[in-house]
Amino acid sequence: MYRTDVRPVIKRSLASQGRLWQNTSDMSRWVRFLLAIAIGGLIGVVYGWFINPVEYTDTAPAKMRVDYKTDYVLMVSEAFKKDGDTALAVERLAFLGGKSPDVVVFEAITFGEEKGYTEADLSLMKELADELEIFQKVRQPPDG
Amino acid sequence: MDGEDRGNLYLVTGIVIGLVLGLLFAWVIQPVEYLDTPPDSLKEIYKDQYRAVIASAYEANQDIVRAKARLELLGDEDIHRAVAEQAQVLLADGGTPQEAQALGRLAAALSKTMPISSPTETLEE
Repeated sequence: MYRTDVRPVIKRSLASQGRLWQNTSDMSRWVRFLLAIAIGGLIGVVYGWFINPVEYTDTAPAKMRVDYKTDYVLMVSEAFKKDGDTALAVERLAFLGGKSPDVVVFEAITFGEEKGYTEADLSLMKELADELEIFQKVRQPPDG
Repeated sequence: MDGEDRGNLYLVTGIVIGLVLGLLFAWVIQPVEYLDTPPDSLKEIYKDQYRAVIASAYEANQDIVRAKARLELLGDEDIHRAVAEQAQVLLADGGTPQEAQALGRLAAALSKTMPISSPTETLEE
């Protein structure tokens, strides 16, 4: 009887199983590697955003808190009371960003009223607001 | 054993790469944007403008207490020196005389409110 040596068959079978295992192992190594990157990335973002965020210096006035902006408008109003220079007041109010000066002053008055600013301070800002309204009407080109 | 160590090393490498990428994103590409900032975080040039308006407001109301409180918001170590220096720089650079004068008068008013240092303190310096 012809005896077949099955050992090579078994060896080949085991070897192919090993390659299969190796392929699965390689894939799972890549998955684990990418997962490690993702976890590292998450830790980095959490650290960079919450634990040790970039310290903000050199900010623009438009980013100031509303009470600081309101006080700035009040300062401009106080200065305006003395010098009566509307154009200069407009220039100073431009410091607070892109909104038109009457809007800036209106917002400051609204905030001041909510927070109980003194009548004297509110009155100064309202005077400036009235003057700005006239100033802007004069500056606008006539219709037609 | 050596194989196992090498096997774990790739995970450490992955975490490190992820950390670097995460920090790059959080600090450079998409850093936290602050709103509602105080005046002491303003850029120097904006602080100068802010200081000038404080001086102009002081000219109007002569309220040194209020002016001091406003100047302190800018976070200067020495508010008197900051105002005086700005006045001098403005004069030297040919800036608005009114603005320079307002700053100068504010600096003078501030110096009157400052405590006089004792001779001992001066010698120790």
